[in-house]
Amino acid sequence: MGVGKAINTARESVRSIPTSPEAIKTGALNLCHSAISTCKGSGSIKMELSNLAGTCAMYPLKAAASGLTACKELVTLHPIDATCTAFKGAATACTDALKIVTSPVPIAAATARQTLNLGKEAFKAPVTVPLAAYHTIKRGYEKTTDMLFGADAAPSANDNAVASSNSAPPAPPSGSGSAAAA
Amino acid sequence: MNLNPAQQILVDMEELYKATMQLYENYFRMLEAAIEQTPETEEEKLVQLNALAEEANTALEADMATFDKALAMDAESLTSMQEQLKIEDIYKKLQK
Repeated sequence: MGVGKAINTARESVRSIPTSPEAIKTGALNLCHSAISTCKGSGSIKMELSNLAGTCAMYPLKAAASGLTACKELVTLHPIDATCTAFKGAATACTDALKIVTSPVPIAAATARQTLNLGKEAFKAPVTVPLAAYHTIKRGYEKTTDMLFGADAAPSANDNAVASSNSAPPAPPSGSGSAAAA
Repeated sequence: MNLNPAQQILVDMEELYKATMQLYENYFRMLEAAIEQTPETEEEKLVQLNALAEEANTALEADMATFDKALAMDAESLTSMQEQLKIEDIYKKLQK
């Protein structure tokens, strides 16, 4: 048996070992921590943009404007104010969901569901910039909140423990929640 | 402060970049909290949350590459513009 075949056999054996729930949880948390660090520590692009804006001031107006086609593609497909407002609204929806998940005081299920549905509304703004953020996170927000709090469970005034909603039935296919929230 | 159109585009792009990063950060914090609150006995839910985190991480990398690409293209065009302008200055001086 050649060395290559032996290596492949060993690799297959490792792949077939089931990943433990603890490992999945640790891996997922590490991924989140790493991504948060990337978001917070990515100021170099922001700085470069500011520097370029300063550089543009030194050039003849027409020449500088014609050299910015790539940036234009990003910001002029949709009015920038509307796009930024949509992104900020979506970010606030995530913060509200975070508060519900981490609240030390149980939040009434009906109240939680109302807040999360308002969050789904925030993701309905038309955004056409060629960035994956909005649409990917929209799907993720709907899946996560449906998973944690149930998508269509009838709100009950007495159902006041968030933990109890963790036993809600599995979420339906993504997308059904946002339309129903209208 | 009066900005020329090119500066305005860059200022708008900076605003879009900040809003994008804020959106990602808040989403990942939400996922992080959801993962922490999910007990290890609920393996299926953990797998789904992990898949969402992986998908968002891929989207984050793609979006950062988009901003980087736009910046690199513009930095290049501005640099070449600067060179052209210098050449133009020298040409004018020689003509005198």
